[in-house]
Formats: sequence, C-alpha cells, structure tokens
Amino acid sequence: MLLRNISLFLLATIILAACELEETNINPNDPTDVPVTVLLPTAMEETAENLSEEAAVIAGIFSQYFVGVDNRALTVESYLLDEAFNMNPIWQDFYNGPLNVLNIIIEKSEAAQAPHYAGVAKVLMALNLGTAASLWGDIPYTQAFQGGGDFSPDYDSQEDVYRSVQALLDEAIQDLQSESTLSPGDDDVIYQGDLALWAKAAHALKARYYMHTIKRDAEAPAKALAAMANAFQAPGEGLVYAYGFTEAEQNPWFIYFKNTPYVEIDAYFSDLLDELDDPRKDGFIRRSFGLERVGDFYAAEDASVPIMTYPELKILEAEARLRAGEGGAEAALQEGVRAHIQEVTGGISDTELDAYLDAHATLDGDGTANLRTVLQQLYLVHFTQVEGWTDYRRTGFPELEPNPDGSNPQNPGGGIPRRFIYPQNERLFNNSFPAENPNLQDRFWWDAE
Amino acid sequence: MREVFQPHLPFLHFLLTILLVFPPVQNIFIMYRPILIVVGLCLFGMLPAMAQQTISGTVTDDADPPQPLIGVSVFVKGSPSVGTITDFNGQYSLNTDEAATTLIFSYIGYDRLEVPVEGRNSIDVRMGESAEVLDEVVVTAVGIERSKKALGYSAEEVGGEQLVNARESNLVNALSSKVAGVQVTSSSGNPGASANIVIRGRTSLNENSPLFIIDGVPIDNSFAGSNFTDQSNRAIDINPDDIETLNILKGGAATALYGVRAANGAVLITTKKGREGGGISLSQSVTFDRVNQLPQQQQLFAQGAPTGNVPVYLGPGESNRSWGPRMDTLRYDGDGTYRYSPLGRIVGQSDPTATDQRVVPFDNFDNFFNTGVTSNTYLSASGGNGETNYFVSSGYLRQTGIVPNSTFERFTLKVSGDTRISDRLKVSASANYSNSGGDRTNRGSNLSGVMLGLTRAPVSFDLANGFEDAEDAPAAYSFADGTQRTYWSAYDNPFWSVNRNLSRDRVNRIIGNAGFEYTFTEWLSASYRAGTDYYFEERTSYWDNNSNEFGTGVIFNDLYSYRSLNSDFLLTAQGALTKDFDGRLTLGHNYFSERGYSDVTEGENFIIPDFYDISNVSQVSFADDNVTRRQIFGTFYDGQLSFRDYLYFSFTGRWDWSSTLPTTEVPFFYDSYSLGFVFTEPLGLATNPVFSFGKLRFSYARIGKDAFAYALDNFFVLGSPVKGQTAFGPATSIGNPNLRPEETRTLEIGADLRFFQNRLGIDFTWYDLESVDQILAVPITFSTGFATAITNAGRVRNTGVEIQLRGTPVKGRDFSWDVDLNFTANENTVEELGEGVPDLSFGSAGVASTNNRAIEGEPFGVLYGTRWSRDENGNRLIDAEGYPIYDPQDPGIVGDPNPDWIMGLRNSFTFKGFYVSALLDVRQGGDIFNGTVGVMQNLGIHKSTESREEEVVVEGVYAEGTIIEGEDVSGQANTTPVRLDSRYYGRYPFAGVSEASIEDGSWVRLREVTVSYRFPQTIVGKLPVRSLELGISGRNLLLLTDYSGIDPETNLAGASNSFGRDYFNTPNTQSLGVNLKIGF
Repeated sequence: MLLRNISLFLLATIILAACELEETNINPNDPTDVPVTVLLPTAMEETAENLSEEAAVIAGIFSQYFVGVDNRALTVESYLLDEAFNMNPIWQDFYNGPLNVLNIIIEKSEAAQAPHYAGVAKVLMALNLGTAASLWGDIPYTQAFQGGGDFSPDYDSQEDVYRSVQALLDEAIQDLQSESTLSPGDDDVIYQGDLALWAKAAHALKARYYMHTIKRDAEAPAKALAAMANAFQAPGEGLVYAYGFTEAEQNPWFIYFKNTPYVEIDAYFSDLLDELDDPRKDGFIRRSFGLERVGDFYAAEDASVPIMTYPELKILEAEARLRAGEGGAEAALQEGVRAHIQEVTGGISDTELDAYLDAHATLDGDGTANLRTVLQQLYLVHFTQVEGWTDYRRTGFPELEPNPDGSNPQNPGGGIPRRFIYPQNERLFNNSFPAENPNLQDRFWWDAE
Repeated sequence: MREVFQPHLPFLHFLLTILLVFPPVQNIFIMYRPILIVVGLCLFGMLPAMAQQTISGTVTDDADPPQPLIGVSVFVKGSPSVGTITDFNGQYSLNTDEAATTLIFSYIGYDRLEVPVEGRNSIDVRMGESAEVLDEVVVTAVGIERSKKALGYSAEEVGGEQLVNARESNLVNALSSKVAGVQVTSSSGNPGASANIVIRGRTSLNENSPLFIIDGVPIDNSFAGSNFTDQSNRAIDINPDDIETLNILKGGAATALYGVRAANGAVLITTKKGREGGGISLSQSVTFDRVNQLPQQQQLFAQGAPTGNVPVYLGPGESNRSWGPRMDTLRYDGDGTYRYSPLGRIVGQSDPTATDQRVVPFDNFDNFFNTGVTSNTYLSASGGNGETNYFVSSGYLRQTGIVPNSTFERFTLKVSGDTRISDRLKVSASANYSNSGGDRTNRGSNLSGVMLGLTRAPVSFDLANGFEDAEDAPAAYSFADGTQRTYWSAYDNPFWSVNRNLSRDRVNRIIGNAGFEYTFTEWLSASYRAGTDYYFEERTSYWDNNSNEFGTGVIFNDLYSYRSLNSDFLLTAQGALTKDFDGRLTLGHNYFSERGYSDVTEGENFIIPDFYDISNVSQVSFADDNVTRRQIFGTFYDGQLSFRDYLYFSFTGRWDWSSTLPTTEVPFFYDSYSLGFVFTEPLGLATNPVFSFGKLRFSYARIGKDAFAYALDNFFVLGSPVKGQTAFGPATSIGNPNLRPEETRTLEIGADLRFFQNRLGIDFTWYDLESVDQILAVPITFSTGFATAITNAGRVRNTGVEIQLRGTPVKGRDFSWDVDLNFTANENTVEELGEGVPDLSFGSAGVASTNNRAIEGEPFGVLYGTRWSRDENGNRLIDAEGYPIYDPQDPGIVGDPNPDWIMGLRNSFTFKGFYVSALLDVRQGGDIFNGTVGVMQNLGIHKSTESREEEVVVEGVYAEGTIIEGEDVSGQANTTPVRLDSRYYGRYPFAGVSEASIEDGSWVRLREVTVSYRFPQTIVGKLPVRSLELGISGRNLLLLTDYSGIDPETNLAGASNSFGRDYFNTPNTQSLGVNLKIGF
C-alpha cells in the first residue's frame, strides 16, 4: 500500500516535472525578439561611438593628430599593432555592433515592408562597411552575420565591398522614397525621422566613398561630384551624432580622456595650427597641466561626433573639382572652411575669417599646390576622425614624416602604416581567413602605389 | 582596535540571555549567592536552594596498566546539563544535588557506562574499548550513514576543532592544506576576501567549486565578484565554530547521488548537535594581522623621466614614472606654500632656490598598512536527555584589515533540535542565520586600487603628506578645493581611495532544514528532509567625483538574492539476505530548485560632496535586473551488498530531469559502482599486532551535469537608453537547442592500510577523472555577428595521487605525538576542445595581455602571453643595439599555474594539559604572472631598477640580418651592452614581456601553529566553570618562497577559473592571536 502510494507520488511528480521544467527555462530577463524601433537607436549610438574610439585613436596616431604616450597607445606610436589587444576590440565593435544590428534591422524591416527603416539602416550600413573596408581592405560582408549558419564567413574583396557600399546607398535612396508601413520618428536619434536628410546623407556618403577610390577609378571625382549635387546644402544638414542628451550619455572622447588618456596632441598637428594661426586651435586643443589633449569642440562632455559633415562635403567637392578639372574648387573650399571655422569657434568676425581664407584657402598655385591647400584643410576638418588617415593614404597629403622608430618586422621600411592588420579572433576562428596576416605596409586594392 | 571591539547588540543580548537562564551557569549564581543575591533578587527572585554533593574520581581505560582517559563526558542521568569532562589526568569533579542517583560516562570509541552513585563521593571507573573501533560511521551522499569500513572510495573527514585552530574567518581558508586532493587559494589578505577551493584539479571549463552541503541542505558558495574589490565567496556565512565535522567527498562514486550539482566534488558539513551533558561553551579570540610580504621599491631615484639621456625630475602630475635623477642630487626649496609638500618643491642641488633639506625616500608602504585586528566571540549551549536534544549558538566576528578602513563582520545564530516522538519516529530541525558583510577597499587592476597607487608611487613623494595617521587626515590626500592630492592625476592616492572609494555589503542569510526518520519495521525505514538556503545581499560601491577609476563620481547599488529549495525522500530496506550476505537498498527522490536575482543600479556624479547615496547623483545612468532559475527532479537508488563483513559492493544510479536542458535530453541517467575489500579479515590478521587492517578500494562512476540556465536560445539585451529611446541589441552568444548533458567519469583505486594497532596508517588513492561533452560558450569569429556559441565541446582529464599518512610515534601517559601528512599530485590535461576551437581564455586579456587559457594538450589554465623571440636552439634573439627582441604577434604559453604537488604536514603534541600543533604547507610549482613587478620595473620604481646605470650584456644571439658596423653578426653571441633603464623597459609591454614576468609560486609555509593549555581539574575545580582552555595561534608565521612580489597565495580574479595572476593584488597576512575557551 505504502509502496504503491509512493510510486504513484513519484509518477505524478515526474509528469508534472516535464511541463514545469520548460517553463523554468524561459528567460525572464531578455526577449528573443524585439521590434526595429528599439534596435535603431542602438545602431546609431554604436556607430558614433565606433568612429571615435580605438579605431580613431590608432588612425589618429598614424595621421599624427595624436602621439601615443601611455599603455597600449605607446606601441602604436612605434607602428606596432597587437592583433589581440589593439585589433580584437575594434573588429568586435564593428561586427558585434552596428554592422550586425543594422543587418538585423534591414532584414526585419524588409520583411515587414518598412523600407523607411531599411533605408536609414542601409545608409548607416554603408557608412560602417566603408569605414571597415578602408581600415582592413577585404572583409566579410555577404556571408557575415549568420551566427551558427556560417561559422567561417568568406571575405569580400575590398573592391566588392566598395561596390556594395554604393549599391546600399542607391537602394537606401530608393527605399527612403517608397511607401512604408512604419517610419522612424524619435527613435531616429540623428535626424528625428527626416527622411529627406537621410537621402542627402546617402548622397554625401556616396561622394566620400567614391573619393576613397581615386587611385583606382579615374572617374571617381566625376561620380562624386554627381552625388554631391543631391547631398547637404547647408551646414546644419550634416550627419553628426549629438551627445549630452542626458548626463549619462557622454561624448566618447570625453570618456577616453577621463579614463584612458593614452594619447596627447602630436606636435605636428599643434605646430601646424600655430603656423596657420588657425582660429580653430582652441576648439581643437585643450591644454591642461602642460598637456595638450583634444579640445572641447570634439571632446567636451556633450560634444557631438562628426560623421559626415557639410564642411567635409564641400572640401571633398573642392578636391573633386580640382581633380576633374572643373571650376568652382576655391568657392567650395572656402565654403567648407568657413562653415567649419564658424562651427568650431562659435563665430569669428568676417575680417578675421576672410584674412584666414585669403592666406590658407586660396587656390592660386599650380595643381599640386592647390591640392596641398585643399587637403590641408581636409586634414583639419577630419581631426579626430578615421578619415584623416584615409585622406593621407589616398592622396599623400599632408606630407607627413614617419616616426623614425617605426621600423619593425610588422612595418617593414618604417613608413606610415597603410592599413590595419586583422584581429586575432579572425585568424584563429575563421577558416576562411585569407592566409597570413598582412603587414602594415601591404597595400590593399584602392591604395595603389 | 576600538573599531573591532564595538559591542554587537544582538550578540550581547544572546550572550546575556544564555548566561542567565541556563542551569550550569545558575550554579555560578549559587556559589556566589552572597555577592549576587541582590542582582539575583532583582532579576529572578530567589533561586532554589538545593543540597549539594561533590562526586569526584578518575576514569581510565581497561589496559594494563590503566591509562587515564582525557575528555570523557561525565554527567548525571536524567539531568544531562549537570556534567563535566575529565582532565588530562583522567580526573573529574562534579557538583550535583543529592537527587543524582546514576552517573553516565561516555567517550568516543569506548562503551558507554552507567554507574549508580549509591551515596559515594568518589567513583573511579574503567572503560572498555568498543568492539568495532574501526567502524567509524561517516555521512555520505544524501545523508546516508555508512560504516567507513564499507566504503569503496576515499572519504576524508576534518574535525571541527581543526577548522578553528588558526581562527580563519572563511571556512574555505580553514580547509587549506588539511585534506589530500583539496587545493585552497585565498585571493588576498583583505578581510572577507574570497577563497577558491578545487577538489582533484580543475575539471570543468566553466565552474569548479564543489557543492557545499550543510546538514543535508545544498547551499550556495557562489562568488559575486567585482572588478574593483575583494568580495566574499558565500561559504563565509558559515561560522566554522558551528561545525562538528566536515566530510570531503572527492570522487565520482562518492558524489554520484548528488548528481549534476556535485560534479566537482562535495563538502558535507555536519553542524554541532545537542547532546547529553553538553553544557555551555564560551570562547573569545583576538587575532592580529600584518602584511607578510611585499614587492620591493627602489630607494635611490626620484620621480621623473629622461629627456634625451638625462634623467629629469618631474613633480606631481607631471609623470607617473620614477626614472628621475638620483635623490641625493636633489633638495627641497622650502616653499611652504607649495601644495604638494610642506617641505616645498624638489629642485636640483645647484638650483638657486635649493635649501639644505635633502630629499630622502619615504616609506609609503609602512605608512600605509595597519595592523589588522580580529575579534571572534562564540557562545554555544547544548543539552538533552537522549530523547530530545537541543543546541543553540551565536557568534560574532569583527575584523579590521591591513588596509585602512577595510572591515568584515559576521553575526551568526544557530538553533537545532531533535526529538524521538515514538520508537518509530524521530524529528529534527535546524536553522542558521547569519548577517555578514564588510567595507571593501579597491584593489587590483583598477586606477583606484590601493596597491596600484601605492606600489607605483615614487619614493620621493610622501603619500601621507607628513601625517601620522594619514587615513584619518583629509589634508594628506586632498586639497581644500576637494580635488585629490596625488602624484599622478590618473592614479588615486591610496589614502584617498580608502576614504572615498568603498564597497559595502551586507548579507542576511537563513539556512534551515527539517526532517523526520520513520522506522516501519526492523528492515524498512523512510526519511525525509527539506531545506532551504536564502540570502539577500545589499551592496553599495562608490567612487567619489574626484576619483580616477571612473573619472566621474559613480555609485552602484547592487542587490543579489538567492533561494534554493531542496527536498529528499529516501526509503531504505536492509537486512541479512543469507548467513553470509547482507544487503541494503535505498530508493530516493529529490527535488531541487534555485532562483538567483540581481538588480544593479548605477548613478553618476554626486551632487553634495562626500555623501554617497544613489539619491545624491545627478544621473541614474543604468538599471538592470536579472533572474536565473533552475529546477531539477531526480530519482535514484543506492544499494550495497556485503559479504561476511569484509567484501562490500555498492552501486548507485540516478535519473535527472533538469530545466536547463532540451526536453529531449531529459531524463539523463548516470551510475556508479564501488568495491571495498578488507583483505585482512579473510587472512585472519584482525588481531595481528603489526598489520591489523588492510582494505582495497575500487570504484567507477559517471556523473551527468546539466547546462546553465537559458542556454538554448538567442536573445536581445537591453542597453542604456539612447537619447531617451529604449535601446536593445542582440546578445553576442548563440544559444544551442541541441545541448546534451555533460559527463564526468571517474576511476578510483585506493588502499587503506593500518599497522601497529592503528599507530600508523597509510591511505593511498589513485584516480583518473575525465570530463567530456562540456557545455561551453566557445569563442567564434565576430564576423558571424556573435562572439561565442554554446556547444558541447571539450574533454578535460585529471589524473592524480593522494596519500595520507597518520601516525602516533609516541603515545604515553603524559605525552603523545601525532603526525598527519597529506600529499596530492594532480596532472591536468585539456585533451580536446572541440572542432575549430583552438583555445579558450579565462580572465581579462586586458591585464597586461596575460591570461589563462585552455589549450588542447596543455594543462588547464596555462598562462598565455607575450614571449621573447628565440632561435631554434632556444637562444633569445638580440637586435643590433643589444636589446632582446619580442614579437607582439607571437604570444604563447609562458607558464603553468597548476602546482606539481601540494602537501600538508601536521605535527601535534600533547603534554599534560598542553597541546601544540604545527601545520606545514608545501606547494611545489605553480607559476604566477607577476604583473605588479613588471609594471613597477616599467615605471622605474622596482628595486631591480636601482642598477639602471650599470651596463649589462643580455644573454642571447643576434637576430637574423643584424648588422653591426657593416658586419653581418646574425647568430653570433650578443656582446652589445645595454642599460636596464627606461629605454630598455619602454621597449616592452607595460607589465613587461609576459614571459619575463612569470615567476615560480612554490612555497613552504608554516600555515598554522597552535599552542593551547587546558587547565587541570585542580584549578578548574576551584572556579565556577567546567573547563578552561587558553591558547595562542599563529597563521603564516613563516613563508619561504622565491616569489618576488606579495605572498604567492593570491588571485586577481578571486574564486574563479582565472588563477595565477598577480596584478596589484592586496598582500596576504600573517597573524598571531590568543584565545580563551570556557566551558560551563
């Protein structure tokens, strides 16, 4: 009797157990699915952060905005990159960050017939892909983001990635004009749902990424100029990410200099500003305790992060016009410089401004001198950005002198590095990893000799 | 000191109540009635006056000549609280009332005696040894009591006394070097710091803590660690004073019935129970701690850095390095207005402002560390009549650490009782309450860490600013404007840190159980026990606005709660099957559920300075909570078949349904088989004077293990709001709906041999343990969109030998000497990690790029980092300037933190009332990454950098393609001298090339020394107490090691799978204490 009761009891618990056990393993903390409206802010914030964190620190050291003085920036200063320490976090910030989130948004919004979301996401996807490809060359894209579906994504050639970037931007421009079941509003923390501005940003980015390829594509300046026609028309339209909405949302440079101040301003950059008597110097550089660090315009607690700005667009236009042999280069240059000076300084007198433009933004020399003038201003406008290093690599301006201690097995010859190396994470875990990790002087597709 | 001896009101309340109401103590009042009468009148009214008699006598064994028996319980039948124990002469003296008719004498290993008083005042007795001396009963899995003789696997017991010898506050530390196969590593000398325990090597790539079980209830020993402070592992909530015995279940066969939760072994704790003649016991100890070992700073050079090749003095805020000029070339300028020093600025001796005041090194270490003090008070009362027994206790421990302002305290309360309701039914229940927590100071790789700020401080900078007690003098570490006075703006002054950056935690915990045993018939019985473990931790950690770790003021409010419920039902049948065969079979059912909850709120920027509360921040920047749940249903059997008391075969099996596995994978089954063969019995050696007992053990077991919660799906996680918008992102781990349970297989062979009538015993065990199909989050390439994928992968093997030696070289009337040795050698190999998984990392690579890894074919957790470049013959490669080359792209294995072997050796002596015991602890091997010294060298502050002006030739050969003065010298021996100066260290990573910072962590230490004296009856008899014992105990009084940093028993990551790394860890301590124990 007793034994029977016990066995009945045991049987009952076992049956009950099966149902209850599954319930217990449902995660109450994290959802298995979320709408695109809560993914878009993440993608935007992470994009802005990636463009002003370690990648920009290393690029900034190579392009001599910064000098590495401590910890992991010290070795970068002698043109040595650690594939784990330096590269893993940057790669992860792209692939476990905006690239993956944007890919999810694009898939979800296309499935839900919400091309407005897809359009915004594609603009940002193109931006992130273009940036990554300008750092590493060939990168996984078409086979990436599949989780367990493909543990070893193939690499797309850099040329293909640039093609994809242009295609994404074209699609985005289409998508932004289509009918959409759902449109971004406040969750678009950059343009607050203004799709026309997103379309302009798409055109501006088309221009930028065409200009990346000038060494390979003679038509690039003309293509860029065509895209610029539909890009930003006024300084306020640029693609920037504003910080300081709440005190918790601090500018990434502010956080960098608070927590890990491993770089200071390179003497080259500081001297250049002195030499130009540049009115932007106080916005660019902040001095404290005899140290020079990034100034408040870029690194105040609530400073905005420039992503694709009107001044950049106008100066790129000047460059494109010079290269395409079209007129109007000086006007574009001066428009860009003026806009940037006014932005950084908060406004200076016209006399001062004109004097500066006369001295440093006038194209009255030969072709090379004019390019030098334009690219000097582009170098200034790209301060703190990865693009500054890209400008150097695609144009050779400004004419930087490499660090004399920069020769090592990873950087044969000791020249200014031409690229990032791949992260250890890829080398170890991706069976499609090309072969050996390149060295810092290996040139990828657009960086022809 | 003052802080340590603050009264703890709940404890005092308990103490007074016990002292006032318990009968043995009332005897004191009776004796001192004239004095206490007024108090007595006020408090109780008149106490009953009784006619008194005193009975005394001697208890001896029945040998010839008789030897006195020490510690025999003597009490009055029917009033068990009226009792005493015999002294070292075997004498006792008992005050009783005249009603006492029978005395009971009881002693472990001897037959209990009941002796009628019959009006006598003197009763001498002789006690006979119990027939079954070897038949010690041990508690095995799920509380099944077994004769130790019958076990087919090794089980080791540690008595409660041994756990409290050295007055360790953390139970896990108290196990250190006492049990073969058990390795304990405390993470630092901070009060309440965690300690890591590993049984028979690290098996799991996830989690290696054994299961802790108190009186049948599994309890949580998790470690909610912190990157910033030393937190406790939760076994610290158990008061070691409450423990009667502790049984370590090591192998699979021993733990198989616990199933998934005990795959890493089990620690079975049996707490003290009420017993006849128990009485009251009060103990008080006071222990003093001081730092036992520190890295050395150079004493010659000032803060600064070279310009060109000339060392230049750089003052506070200008450099974090000590590559400045020789201090004997420097003077103070005497400017009293200089805010960093009342002596003025430091200038060159020829500077026009220089005074005669020379610059001499400050001893910042000595100024900083304090003597830690621990006070531990424990009171227990126990009694019963054999049918109903009770035990109550309370303990209060308060500790201040070697780091100023660090504290830990613990208050415990325990009550337990059992009663026999009828011949068939016995009921018991117990409850433990504890309240623990402390103030934790910052440590480790943390810009507010005290060791970071302290060891990096140039000796030309006085962190204390001339103050005697700088931790209490804000002017030592801060300026009038509220900012910090420190030598480098990125590092906190440690005096600042211990005042402005603290983590406070408070844990309230209840562990309780209730159960019954019911006997149906002679051969059938049932038992049931349900227990719960519940705790709630509040933790507030803050960093002042002007502290460096976060750059802004930050406060974290963390709440953690944990609840487990365990319920076991057992039905046991046993009896003789035939004349020669006995059998026993237990069927059981187990239900276990646990729920963990955490809630973290982060705030930034304090509004009112120096007031650290979440309401006082300008921004609550982050809030998140997390719930983890798991349920297990298990059904099991445990059987034993024995032949003629010398051949024992046991088998167990268990089916588990776990909530964390896919429904297709449950239940999963695992089993164990063991054989114990007492071969001396059939050989007729039982009475042999030389070799009387020998047993062989064989066992094989498989244990299953489930997954962690929520491992089957992919999730999205909530991030901080973005401009007021909710922001989610995909989690970086890929779930796996096809997980299988893990399995651990153990083969164990052992022998237990005893000689010379148990004067010498050797216990030998060999084991081979293999853990397969481990459930792991393996790293995958980020370009999949994820960082890890959960999968069944990995096989880890541990093979080892455990030897225990117990001997009594001398056993005499007044003097005896016992030796107890345990030895463990474990070899650990990661055999396989799964396809496409070359290695797994544990611990942040950020710490100077050296971390622990699991690599196929290597021991678990090898240290991995940067290496010197070498040619094929192993010579270091040297460049044209004479510097050794390292390739940052070619990291590799640089050390193995697993010790080759560990050994504990205890010698104990008793002489009359004296007891002296010394525990020697030897660890051979076990590398440690000494990042502390690596960084100190880089900064020019380590002692070794005093030779910075000398030239040395680094041993090695010139690298391929090295050209010196036009000649290719590739492969030739290096002859180019270099200086080991800032230029040298500046070429290598911040904490040095990992390989260069690996040191041998072997040690020999005197882990515990105890000297105690038990006052004889001749003295105690005149006092109103039953026993009195005074002792002195020491911990780590001697440490011999080649390790150049702090005590090598240290762990940056606390109780976790990351071990063997020292990166500004808080040093360990040595202690000396006194204790007094009084029995009433």
